[in-house]
Amino acid sequence: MKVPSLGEFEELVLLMVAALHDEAYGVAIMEGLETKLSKKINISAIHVALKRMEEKGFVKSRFGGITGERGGRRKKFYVITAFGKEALDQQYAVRTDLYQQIPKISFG
Amino acid sequence: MKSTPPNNAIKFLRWFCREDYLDEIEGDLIEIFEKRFQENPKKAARSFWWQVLRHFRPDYIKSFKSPQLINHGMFRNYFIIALRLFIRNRLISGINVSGLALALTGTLLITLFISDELSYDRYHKNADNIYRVTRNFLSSDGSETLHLGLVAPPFGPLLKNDFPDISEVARTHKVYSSLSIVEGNGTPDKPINVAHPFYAEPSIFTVFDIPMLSGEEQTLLENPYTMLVSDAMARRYFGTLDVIGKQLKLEGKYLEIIGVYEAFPTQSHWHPDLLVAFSTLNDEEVYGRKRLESSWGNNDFSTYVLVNDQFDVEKTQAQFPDFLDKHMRVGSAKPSTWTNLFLQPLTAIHLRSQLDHEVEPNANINHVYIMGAIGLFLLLIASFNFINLTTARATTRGKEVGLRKAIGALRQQLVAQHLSESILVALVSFILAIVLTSICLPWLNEFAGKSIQLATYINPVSILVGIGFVLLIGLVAGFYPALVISRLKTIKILKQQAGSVKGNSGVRRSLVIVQFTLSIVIMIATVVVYQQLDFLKTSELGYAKDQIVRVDYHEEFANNYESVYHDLTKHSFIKNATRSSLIPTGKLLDYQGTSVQQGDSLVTTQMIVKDVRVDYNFFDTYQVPLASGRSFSEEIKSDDSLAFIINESAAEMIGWTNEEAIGKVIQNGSVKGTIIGVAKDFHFESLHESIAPVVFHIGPHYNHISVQIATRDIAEVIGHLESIWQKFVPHESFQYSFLNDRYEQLYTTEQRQSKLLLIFAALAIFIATIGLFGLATFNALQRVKEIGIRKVLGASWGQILTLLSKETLFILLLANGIAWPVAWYAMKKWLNQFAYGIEPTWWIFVMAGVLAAVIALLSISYQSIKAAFSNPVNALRNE
Repeated sequence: MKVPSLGEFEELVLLMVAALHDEAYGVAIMEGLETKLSKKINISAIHVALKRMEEKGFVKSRFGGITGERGGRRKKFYVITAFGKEALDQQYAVRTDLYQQIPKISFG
Repeated sequence: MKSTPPNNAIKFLRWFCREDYLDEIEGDLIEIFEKRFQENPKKAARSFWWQVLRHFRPDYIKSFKSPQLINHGMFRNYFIIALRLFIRNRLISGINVSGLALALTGTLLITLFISDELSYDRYHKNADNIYRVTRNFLSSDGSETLHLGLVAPPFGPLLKNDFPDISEVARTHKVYSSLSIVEGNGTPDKPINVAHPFYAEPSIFTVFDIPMLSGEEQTLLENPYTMLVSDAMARRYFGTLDVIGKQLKLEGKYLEIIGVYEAFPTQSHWHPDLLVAFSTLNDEEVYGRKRLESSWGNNDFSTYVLVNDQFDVEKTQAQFPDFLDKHMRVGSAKPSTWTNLFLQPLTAIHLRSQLDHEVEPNANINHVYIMGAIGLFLLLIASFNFINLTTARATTRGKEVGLRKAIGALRQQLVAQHLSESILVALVSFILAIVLTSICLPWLNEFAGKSIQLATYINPVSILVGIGFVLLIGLVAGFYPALVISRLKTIKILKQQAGSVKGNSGVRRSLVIVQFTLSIVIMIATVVVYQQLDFLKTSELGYAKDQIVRVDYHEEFANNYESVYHDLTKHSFIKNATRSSLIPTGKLLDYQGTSVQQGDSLVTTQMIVKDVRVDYNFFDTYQVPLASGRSFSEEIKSDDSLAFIINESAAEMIGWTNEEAIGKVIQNGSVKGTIIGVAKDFHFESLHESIAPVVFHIGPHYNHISVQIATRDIAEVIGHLESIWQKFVPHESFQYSFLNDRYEQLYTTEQRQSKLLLIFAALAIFIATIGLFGLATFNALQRVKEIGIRKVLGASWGQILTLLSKETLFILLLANGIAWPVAWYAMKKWLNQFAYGIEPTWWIFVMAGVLAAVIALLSISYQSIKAAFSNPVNALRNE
């Protein structure tokens, strides 16, 4: 089965989802990425990425319970699927492989 | 400050966002907002909005397709059901369609009429920037005595000179001299009688749009003694459009035709048959250059100004008093104390100008309002029929509705079904109405003196308006029935609880009340208008208007009036003849300023005393009796200039009794003389006006000869008059009219109004009645069993009749109660335009009410009587 492509931003989001494990929802992902990348990220971009990846089968979601926070709206938690993990692994493998091929020229 | 995000943003989000994403997105956004709110509330709100907008993308927007299934089979079913119902309830459907069609026809005709009236003078491309200069005169107490649509000749050029925002001025002046066609080759000139000949300045082509058919565009009307004719005029008098170079004679001068223009459309406030170069007026024998520049009193020039876009009417008018004081050198008092100028928009002339002197008679905006109201009434009455009959019928469609609901019809679907039915009915009616309108249009044209063509209204805009109108009528009329029908409770209907669908008879009743109120108002109005007309025709005028023929007075008569008079009166059919400056049925426009001698000083009268020049036979010919004193007499030498006769109103205004007035000295204009008699008041002007104070004196100039005749052989008398005319004025065509015709013409508007009202009153009553008939039929059918049981239990047919008519009587009583005060108020307003009006009498109201009651009861009686006399077995055996 051909693994659907994984965009750069999607990859970052997917990594974050995997890292946060079971506690990953929109705002948490956004904040996590903002600290790591130290730049502003728009929540709608996160939502779009999550939605696409859910369609591709990289993540799956469940709703949290209703709490008094967030205007009574439920959180939607994402976890990475095995398929998602595989995609990440592949991506990682490709990158590492390519990285290894960089000739050992001094960059100093 | 509460940390809630902007409400509108949330609403917007909830409106567009897909249900399955809403929780996540809204929740996340709120969470972010709450965090940011701590730092900067305002920025947080702004950012919230931004975030919401960022989410407004196809991925999250929910589907706005209504969940309804588009099902062609269902539509076919709607259509079939509608058709079946239409055929099964032929009566109700027929009433719906024909009532609506008739009302729409009336409304369409009225709309055509109104849009034609409103289109006057709008065809000029500068229409909104053209104004007409008008002038008023003030009495010493500052009240307006006269407001003329025409002004003196010097104003035009001065206005253009003094006001930079006035870019062009065009003056026109009626040609009073007689015209004749120069035949040449020794043939005598042919006198012609042109209705509207005008002098006009070349700038008339800048101000107005006058399409030329032939002739040099640049030199139009530049040179004196040149003229243009309309194509209609050219065809009429020359039989061809090839008239350039032909000559006409005016005051002994030869005028050359240099061009032909397209005759002005009906929708213009003036219709010149020919235009003579204005510069011709510089000729001393025609008018005179000096008079053009300095005659401040000859208010006989229509003056139109074309202004630029910066022009401000109010500001300009405010400068007019100074303008007048600067230029007018007349008398000692400042001109602005006794006269002023005004600017009247060109497009207001036809409907909103009722000045004392107009180029042509105008229409009245009130007439347009009245027609509009009637059109609306008709439409309301017909729509109410529709609403009533459809809701009434809805109760019998309970099973259909119940079944539809049971198998899953949504409420919107039911509403859509019934609305489309009513739109269909409206459409059919509208098509019928268009056919009827095209049939009735020639009648309207003839009757309202118009030339409206339906074809000119066929354009995309009016078609769209028409479609919109049909939809509107369909929706308005169908909305309530659809609502009622769709609200029916399925189980109750299917369990046959008839009571559940009865709740709307109150609405039905009030609609019928409104219908009859409107009908009764129109009926009362019709009768009052007719009564007033009758009053006008038969009221005592104070002079003899029948058997008087008016002939134009001509200069040739003046030179030998004695022999003219002799020739006239030698015929045994002619009893008397008199000359005068004005004749009754005319308008009293002239006045010279009158003062009364008190001791040694002259005191100007409070009100304007109108001036009429007569000759010795005037009071005899018109059979106006004198209240005191004597009439003018040829025996007494001083009567020819130093004697005055005033009317009773003048005496009363000055403060004399009829007897006191005799021998008093007054000054009229520059002539000081003695009052020798007081004439009884008579209605010189139309009964719209109260009797004005008048002073009569002998000569010197006259405009009319009035001939009193005593015969039924009119042709013989006219023949005799014409032979005298030919003898003295061979070069001109004979001009005469009958005084009673002129009298009738004073009330043409009212005549037309009354006929229109009569027709539309009949239409309104008819539509309301067929509606009531339909409703009664329906009610009787609904109550067949009830009536059967009542009869079985011993009710007499009288009791049944009462039972069925009671409600209608109640409705009529209420309708009358509302209609009477409304009609009384409206008619009071209408009668106000007459100085002499009738008082609407109570019996008119009662009569209208009774008539409406009779018609209504007749319409329901057929069903009631049928029900009352039917055999109860027929009604009950099926149970």
